[in-house]
Amino acid sequence: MTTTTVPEDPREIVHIYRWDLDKTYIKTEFETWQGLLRTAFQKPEDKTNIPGAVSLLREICQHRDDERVVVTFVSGSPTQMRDRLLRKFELDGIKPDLLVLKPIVQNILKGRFRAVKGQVGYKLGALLDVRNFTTTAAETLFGDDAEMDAFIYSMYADIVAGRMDRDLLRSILVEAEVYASPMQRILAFADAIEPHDTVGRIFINLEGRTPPGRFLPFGARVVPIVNYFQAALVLWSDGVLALDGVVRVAAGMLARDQYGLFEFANSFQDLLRRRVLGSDALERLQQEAEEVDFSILPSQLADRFVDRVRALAPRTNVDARQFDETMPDYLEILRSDRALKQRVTEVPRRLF
Amino acid sequence: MPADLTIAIDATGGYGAPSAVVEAVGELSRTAAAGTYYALVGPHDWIAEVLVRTRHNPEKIAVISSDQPIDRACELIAAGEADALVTAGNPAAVVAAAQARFQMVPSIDRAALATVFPTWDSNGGEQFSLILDVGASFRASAEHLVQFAQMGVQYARIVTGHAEPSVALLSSSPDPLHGPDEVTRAVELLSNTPLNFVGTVDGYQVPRGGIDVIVCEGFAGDLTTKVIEGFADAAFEMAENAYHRKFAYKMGLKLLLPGLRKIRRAVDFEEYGGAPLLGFDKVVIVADPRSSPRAFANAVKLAAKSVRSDLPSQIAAATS
Repeated sequence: MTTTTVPEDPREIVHIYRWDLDKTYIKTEFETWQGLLRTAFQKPEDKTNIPGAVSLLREICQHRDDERVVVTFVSGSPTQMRDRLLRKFELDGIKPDLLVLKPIVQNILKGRFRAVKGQVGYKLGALLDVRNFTTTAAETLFGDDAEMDAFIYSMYADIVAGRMDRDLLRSILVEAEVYASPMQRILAFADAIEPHDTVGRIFINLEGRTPPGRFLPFGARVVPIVNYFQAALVLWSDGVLALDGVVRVAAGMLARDQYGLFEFANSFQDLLRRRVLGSDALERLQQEAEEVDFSILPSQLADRFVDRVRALAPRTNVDARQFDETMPDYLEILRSDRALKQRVTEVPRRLF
Repeated sequence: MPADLTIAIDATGGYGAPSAVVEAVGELSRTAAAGTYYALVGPHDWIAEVLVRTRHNPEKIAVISSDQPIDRACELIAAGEADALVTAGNPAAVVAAAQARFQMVPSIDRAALATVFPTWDSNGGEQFSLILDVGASFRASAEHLVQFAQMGVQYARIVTGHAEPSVALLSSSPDPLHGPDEVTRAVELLSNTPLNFVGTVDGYQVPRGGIDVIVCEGFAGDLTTKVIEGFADAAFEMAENAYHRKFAYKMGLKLLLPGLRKIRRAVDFEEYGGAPLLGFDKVVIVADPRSSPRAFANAVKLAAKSVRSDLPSQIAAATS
């Protein structure tokens, strides 16, 4: 049933990283026609990365010779952009195993205009499509707040874990106004999946600065972030990334993206404040920092970072929010999202 | 001038706290220039709860946990960890905290809150005057009024660019011999300074403009500015009610709307941010407790501008 697969390789897949592209990996503006056109015609060398994305991708792709890490990109960009995007990856030194793009022109030609903008049917279908049905490798997902990545990724996590039954899945797809043919495809994929709870963290880059609290209904699995230093810290606390990997991500952001001590310390405090990390992460950081080579960072930066983070830490110990197997109420999330959009578009009647 | 700039903000001050404060800081953080940071000071959990529901850039915001936010913010500034304080807290408490942590600038022994307010000249053009003190303390001696005048003139030079701003004392009469003792004595003292002192003005003259700096004790200044703000608010509320009541009023107001909106903006205290507390060697901005997020954001911007222009040193240089 799989129509798109990652290239064959005899090595065991130990981790799969699934990325969105626009506003997750590269900066894109598609809210206006002007921005959309600029994006479409932008040369690969002119496309700007989200700070830390390339450094983090390089770090998470590190693995032993007999193991394999898979990186897939599923994007809402049109298929016509494939060559430019592959060239962009080449410039960044990234080799994704798979790049899936949206058949926007086909949708227009078939008169399926809702599918041009809608993401649920396309992206959920594509994620299930590219998944090896029997994989037990851990998955980490990266998306953004521009569309419905948190919703789609979270649904994907529940489908592959076997937590979502067929009737509920169908009701959600109907509520999300997914066309009949992608709906049938998604249901067929869901039926064929051998359930494994493989999805760990779902990172949502808050490029649009959506309040992080809007993602609380999705549970602790979904982690809103404002930079990839935060993602690196969470992956380090989960044991996926070593501390020296976090240091290299930070060094990349220092060198290329004008990040400094305050941005890093405030980012750490933000994770503590939202209980993505607990106070134990701070203790662990201090212990591990003694054994890490910080020579790629400016002198004293690491010490100053630890001091500042300690100074900003909550006075009482906090525990990180724990993963919960309870499914989010997807139907309620869709309805409240719609109600919120309506409230935002209502203009208050005031004379002055 | 510091390369990086950190504004400490009391998250608990004002009637809309912490939401109005956090919303303002959230908005500012999203557009902040490189090197500009905000420290939200107050009870950690209280701030965190609001922040998580607010659009913001956490890279620019540190939350400093404290049950005494004004004192803690002053401590941070004194320790060089922040550059300015913005608060909508009680002015007396702010002055007390500042006195405990900061130095007064030479030749000044009483701080004053200064605020700008809109006036109209004889041709109907918009102007602004500066009034101080508007509530740092209730009473002031003649010597204090002279110090207020010196600080006000220097601040007006920075704000308006006038080399020699005119300065007057607020009194019960334009006749300098009729008024409270401290005012008549201050008239005498100010007449012997190089300032462009033009005498006394009464309340009627205040909104009519023509004077750059009006000096008074805190009680009178606070009362004067609140009457001006309250009168403007009441007038616009009446217009709003009339608009919804009668078709003829609605049509008339519609025709006048562009002009009325311009006046509304001019008299809107939220446009002016907050009042700098002059006299200390650090920047302190006191915002109105009724401040909306927009007013609070303007107060924070005023703090940043005051630090960048090194306001305390300029006041010190002019008064010593």
